[in-house]
Amino acid sequence: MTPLSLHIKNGSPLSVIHTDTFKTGMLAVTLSLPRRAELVSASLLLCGMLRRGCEKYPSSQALNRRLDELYASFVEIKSTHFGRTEAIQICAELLDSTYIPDKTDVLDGVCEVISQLLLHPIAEQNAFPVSALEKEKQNVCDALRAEINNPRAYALARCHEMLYETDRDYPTADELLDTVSAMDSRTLYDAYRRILRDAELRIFYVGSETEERIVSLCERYFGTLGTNAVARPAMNPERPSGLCERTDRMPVRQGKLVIGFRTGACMADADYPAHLVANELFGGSPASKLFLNVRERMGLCYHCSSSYHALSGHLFVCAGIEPDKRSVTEAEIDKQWQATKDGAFSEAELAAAKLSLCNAYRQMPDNPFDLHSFYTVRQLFGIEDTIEDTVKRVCLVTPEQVAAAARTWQKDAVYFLHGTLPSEEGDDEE
Amino acid sequence: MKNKTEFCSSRLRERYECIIHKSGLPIYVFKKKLSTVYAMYGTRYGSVDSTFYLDGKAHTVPDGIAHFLEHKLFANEDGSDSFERFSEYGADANAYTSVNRTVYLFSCTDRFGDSLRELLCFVNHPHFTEHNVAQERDIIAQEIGMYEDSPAEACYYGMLEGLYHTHSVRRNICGTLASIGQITPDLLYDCYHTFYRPDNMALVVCGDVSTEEILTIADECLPTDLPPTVALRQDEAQAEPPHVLQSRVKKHMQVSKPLFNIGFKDTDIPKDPTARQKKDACMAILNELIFCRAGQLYNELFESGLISPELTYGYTVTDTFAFNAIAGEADEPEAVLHRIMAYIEELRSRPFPTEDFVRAKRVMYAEFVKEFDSAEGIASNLLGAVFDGYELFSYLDVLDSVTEQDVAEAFTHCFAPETLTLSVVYPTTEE
Repeated sequence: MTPLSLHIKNGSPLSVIHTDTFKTGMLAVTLSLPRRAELVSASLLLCGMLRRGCEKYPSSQALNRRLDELYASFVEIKSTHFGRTEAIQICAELLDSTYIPDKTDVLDGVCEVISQLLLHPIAEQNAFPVSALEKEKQNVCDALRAEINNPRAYALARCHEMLYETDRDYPTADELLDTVSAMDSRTLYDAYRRILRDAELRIFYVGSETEERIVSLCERYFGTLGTNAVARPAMNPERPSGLCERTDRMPVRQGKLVIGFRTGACMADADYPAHLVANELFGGSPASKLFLNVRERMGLCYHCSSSYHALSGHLFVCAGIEPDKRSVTEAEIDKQWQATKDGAFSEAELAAAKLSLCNAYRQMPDNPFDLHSFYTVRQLFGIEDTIEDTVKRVCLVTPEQVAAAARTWQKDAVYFLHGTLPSEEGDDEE
Repeated sequence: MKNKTEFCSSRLRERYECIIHKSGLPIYVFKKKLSTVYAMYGTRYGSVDSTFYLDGKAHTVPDGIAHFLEHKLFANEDGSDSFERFSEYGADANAYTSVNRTVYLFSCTDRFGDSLRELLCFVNHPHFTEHNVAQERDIIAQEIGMYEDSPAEACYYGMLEGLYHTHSVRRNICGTLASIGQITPDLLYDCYHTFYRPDNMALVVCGDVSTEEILTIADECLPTDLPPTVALRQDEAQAEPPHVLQSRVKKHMQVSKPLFNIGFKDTDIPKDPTARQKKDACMAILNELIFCRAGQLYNELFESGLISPELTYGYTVTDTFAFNAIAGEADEPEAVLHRIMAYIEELRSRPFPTEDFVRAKRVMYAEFVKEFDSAEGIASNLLGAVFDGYELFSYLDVLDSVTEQDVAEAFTHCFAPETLTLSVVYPTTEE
């Protein structure tokens, strides 16, 4: 399933995957701009403000009632980033017309809701309502502070921040708390207007409706949005800055070790498939070196894995361990990295890594949202590979290329969350 | 083919078949033109089965043993691990243990037959030794540690510990460091031979597959000569009073803001699976009417700043326990509970508007249809229906059959104060 590339009258790209495979369709509207620190906090707040309703559906209750009438259509507004591109995405999941037992035109209804939310938010005199903004600031700050509820995600976020320490376009959670708290309703409304004016609009649809109908609906509901083609910043312009280490203590039982690497390679690079395979073989699957050695052979942890972020070129290794096992765990992770760099892996290990990746890619056509994720990011960066192209490139990776890829990884940040609580001693009360 | 039953739904445009294999294992095949094939091989054996009766004799085993068994079953006699074999075939394998079932699964886009053979073979060939059990204990200890650090998990279990006096659902699926320390190879074999029997299990496959291929592999891999053994489960529902053990459970952990779970215990559990399914549908509609984002209560709580945006709710029913749960984040969970109970009291004196009832049913219908898009979702729901004792497609008819009176009747029996537990995880720095 590859998307048909179309354009609506205002010039904005529209991708359509016409299929009757699914009982649900998906529609995604993406507004993207080069990432800047001030845009990050504005995007976070804007998503919440837009979700609060619009002129036609002036409250969260009215909006949700309308979505329920449209057969529980799900509309999500989120702030995200693709490397150095910041985006606001509105994604909808809607029931296919074949399964609507009455005359409700769900697709038209969902397009109308998205258009209302995006183009007609509740505002007075070029400013968002102050009381609503104050509530939304509280929600965004609560969500940022809630990182500590999940020690694993908290540790990963801190390691991520260490890798971006000198990059002002990637604010830390603490910096975001400050900028979000300081945002006023007029500044946010100005940011909203600028996004509508300057952002690049992309629309993606997967479902059974005809291309003609999708084009017609998109022109009707999104035709007034901008036609800007935004220059893409490089995916990974950062330079390695040398190893930094940090340990924090937290009253939890299990320690979390996160190691951040810079690979120097991104999705657009020729050696991207080699990094994908190297990561999979190193720590990306239950057949990987980290799983089989750190977990299974040494019993050091329940989870130990690596993940490669193809838009930033970062690679993270995460392990949940006894706090006093940090050194032995880190030494074993280093040993397995060295083995990967030395090409000390069997044909079977390499084959398993490739098969694992190919299996994951080949499952993507079964999910409209996976199709959207795969193709939208590639379209943003002008990469023309299809899913099958990627599978072919993965299959062609040689052992030498895997080792060479692993040799380019630079270990740049080690973060350890030191758990200070003893095991199985609670402080429960009745 | 003998022993074959077909089920179809014209509304969903789907069908599946059930074949009772000569081993006694029911095999469900749901054909779907997708790239992914998803297979689940499960047994009706979970964490609540820590006491069972065999040949009239009671056996009590350490908590967490079903989960331990699930981990250890991947180890093979030749020293290999089945995860590695699945990787050779390019399949993505996993397993999980819940309160009342253990499931082994894989998804693949190629070499389905090899992976199915591996699934059926490793689950039917246990290999437990002192050494491999001791080794797994360290890994599971870390898993327990990971969950102990999860405030959401602690809050949920706090609710179950408050709701239930004795029922095993109140105990953690993984067990404790102490209980897993008591697990031996012999105990694992005892549990395995009691519960891992074709007539207590089911195989579900969803994808673009051939029934003949599945049956051929089943013939190769499944035992057909097992002597009958009938284990009786402890009927824990009998011993459980309608009122809760504790109405408030408080814990302190590393959280930014208090997390809460409000549980309402339900001891009125229909014995008949079809009646249970209808009750489940009634409760789903009732919850939708009271707690949904399109409703008055959620929006009052949200707009007044009493709750963070995320509020989840759901009714859980099995043959031995049932409860309704509402979860979220709030600075003042007691105030949230107070508002919820006040709202429920207001609703007692007036019927739900018909338009809201129609909307709630529409939502439940759409959510159900959406489940039939992924091989994983279908396999998972089908196995759930099989183990719960009802036919998967029948949910639509059951949903249709629920009337406003049914929901009103269900409402009169719900949300009594003596059935409620509020579990809160407060920040460590806060009293």
